[in-house]
Amino acid sequence: MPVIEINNLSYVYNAGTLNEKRALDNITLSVEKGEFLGIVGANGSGKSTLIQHFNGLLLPSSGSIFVLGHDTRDKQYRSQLWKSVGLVFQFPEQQIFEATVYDELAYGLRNIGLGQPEIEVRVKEALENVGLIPEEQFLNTEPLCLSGGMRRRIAIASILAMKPDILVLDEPTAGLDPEGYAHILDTIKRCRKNQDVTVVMVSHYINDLLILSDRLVLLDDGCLQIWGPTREVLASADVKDYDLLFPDYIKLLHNLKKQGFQVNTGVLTLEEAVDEIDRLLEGE
Amino acid sequence: MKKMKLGSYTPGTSLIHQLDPRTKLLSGLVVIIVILVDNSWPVLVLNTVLIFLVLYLSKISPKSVLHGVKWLWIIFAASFIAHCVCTQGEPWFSLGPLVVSKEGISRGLATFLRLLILYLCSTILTMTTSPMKLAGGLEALFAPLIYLRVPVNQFAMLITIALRFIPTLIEEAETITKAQKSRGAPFASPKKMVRLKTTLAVLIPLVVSSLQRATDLAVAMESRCYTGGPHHSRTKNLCFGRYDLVALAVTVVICISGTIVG
Amino acid sequence: MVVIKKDDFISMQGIQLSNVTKEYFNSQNDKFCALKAVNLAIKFGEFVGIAGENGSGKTTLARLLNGLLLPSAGRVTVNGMDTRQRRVIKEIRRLVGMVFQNPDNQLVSPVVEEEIAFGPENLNLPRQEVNKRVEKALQIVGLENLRQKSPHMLSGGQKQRVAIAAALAMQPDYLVLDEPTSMLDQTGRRRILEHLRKLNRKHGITIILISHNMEDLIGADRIIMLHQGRIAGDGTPWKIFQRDDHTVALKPPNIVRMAQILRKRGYRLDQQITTLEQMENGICRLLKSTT
Repeated sequence: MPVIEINNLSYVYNAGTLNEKRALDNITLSVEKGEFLGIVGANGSGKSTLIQHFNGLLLPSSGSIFVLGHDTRDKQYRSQLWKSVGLVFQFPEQQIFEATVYDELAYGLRNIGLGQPEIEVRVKEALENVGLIPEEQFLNTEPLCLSGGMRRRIAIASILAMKPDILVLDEPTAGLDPEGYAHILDTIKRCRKNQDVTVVMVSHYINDLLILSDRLVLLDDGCLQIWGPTREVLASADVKDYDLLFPDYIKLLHNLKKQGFQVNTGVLTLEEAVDEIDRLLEGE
Repeated sequence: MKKMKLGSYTPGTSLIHQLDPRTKLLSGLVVIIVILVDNSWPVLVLNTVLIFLVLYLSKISPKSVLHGVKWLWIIFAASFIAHCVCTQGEPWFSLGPLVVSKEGISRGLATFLRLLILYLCSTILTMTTSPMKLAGGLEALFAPLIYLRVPVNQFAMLITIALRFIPTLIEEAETITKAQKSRGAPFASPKKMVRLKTTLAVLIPLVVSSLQRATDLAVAMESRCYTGGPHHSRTKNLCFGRYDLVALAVTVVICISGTIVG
Repeated sequence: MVVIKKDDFISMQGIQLSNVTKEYFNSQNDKFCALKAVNLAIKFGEFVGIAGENGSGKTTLARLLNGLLLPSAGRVTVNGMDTRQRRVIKEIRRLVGMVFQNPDNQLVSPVVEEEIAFGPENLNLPRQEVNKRVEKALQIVGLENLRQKSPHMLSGGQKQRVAIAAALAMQPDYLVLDEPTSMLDQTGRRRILEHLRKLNRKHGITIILISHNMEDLIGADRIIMLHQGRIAGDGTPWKIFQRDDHTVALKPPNIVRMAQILRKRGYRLDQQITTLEQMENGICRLLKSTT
């Protein structure tokens, strides 16, 4: 059963003015319950605009979007949607404002109206989920004293604590050093294991998404170009048109295939690519 | 997102656009002082004609200026009505308990014109002058104050940086607002305290990031040898030409002759 | 009187760090050592990559190079000038241009053109000279058609190019870039790297590029690895990528790793493969030689 259904969605910024810009053009797409969907596209391709439709922050200029079975144009429904769709913005550490880590994580929970005992349990759980353990050590820390990577994990935890049905992440690894990057990826992998949660993750570079995504969406200039199971998308020949989005080992396989060699281009990791080349060299 | 804001700079090549920012600042100042000091009819009428002439020459569509803000017209109308009703004098006609006097109508009209001139002066100035030129004009006009140890150059740099970062800040505020909404921030709560706290949830991150930005910027400026001196692209680019002289002269003549006749 | 010793002549060109230590004090007044007795010479005209994880002292090192920070011990010289001497600091800052990580937090002016003029004007150059330099810098980074734009309307990559142009307008010998690509998308990143290579090869500017992405550093003449405030490695990219030490948690680029694994499995690939083309050619050659 799809949890998000998008039909012919278009979105226009500054409609009717000189700066009018069509950010999304006739997008049709659905997200299944429990799946991990990766959305990839260059900067300015409309990724962020698309996901802000998921929790009703933006409404389609034309077309429709149904989230968890309801139209987001319904104002009553939309105003409660944040409880079930957790949206992690790009550079989410910028939104931190409470004086302690505990309060920061409890902010959304208090807005939901949960009681103190439940909040405490969830805060600890969320901290554990992002790998900030032992939790007690962090609860009363001032977020501003922590490193950028840790602040980002706290911001993500503040959304995880709300236990959304759909978790949406906008470029969660952008601008991090390798260590911070690895921690965020671990957190996302943990989320992926939980079959009840649907995860949508956006990135300008497909690398992070390859091993995680069940399906991939490729956006280019506001249009949906490719949508399908990850391996099929990678195997398809269109990849070469989006040179900068794909890692070089996949490009290498595509290049070899173009030269007439029998290569399976549907690989996800570097190791798989090496095995494929190994097989090719062996076979000759 | 980025709506056309009222009074924001609209690039153009009209005579008024090309005038030196100092000319525009000075003439505007003269006009405003005169209409505030002397509210006789000749002054008001002459200045009204002048300002509409400038509006015509600036090639800005009058509609975009006059229909700009609805609340402004409400203020204009309210002040007009208030003057009509509250001024004592020879009654002209009455509406129920309200008596409208001839003096009231005349004073109401005068106030309306003064407000209109004030509004047009400032709007035309900002719409025809790029923010950088404006900052340069101010820096040049206040330059003599350097001898009184007023940090004019630093102040102009301050304005420049503010102009650079206001759009960035607005965008950032929008994003943070959305992010907090996604965590259920009750922006529309009926309780005042709750709304205050919600505003803080946007303001605090904004201040934090601005402080970080200020630190980064200071380092970047130091790296490029900034020591607080004057900046030529702001000040030296200004050139006071023939048209500026004519414009200033026209303004002064109109203001003086109005005062004399009045 | 200034006595010039013999070895000072040798070090006139280039940047020298001799025995440089930099200590900070945190809020609890604990001493923290960001760099420990670092010795390093950067030659004029080199393209140097500096890699290392967070806290390894990369940014501290960068800021010592133009006197934004001064060493706690040891000395830093740029073309023979000591950064601790106040009267040469302006000249050092002119010689060593800086570009920072966050594209938004280093541009001061609401117009691109004026941004680039900012540095030359601080040097009190005459108007015509400033205009000439702005023109040249815009042309080098290919932003002539965006000269009147406001920085907030530009993409991250374009903003970084403005920052590079702004540094170039000072006519520097050295350009130090502190993780300039980490906040950009792939298009922006690739563009910046191309420009840096061009600046180095065509305009002879020494590039010192700090990054934790090894892919960025493939084109460098030399990579310096920092680890906990010390130099943990110094050599050609290829030599650095071959290292197998676990103190440095930075992965070699994909293609290099591929070549390493294939070579381990017994395939006789050419030496020093770092790019996609080299890899492709290498594999093709192997395939053809076996048939």
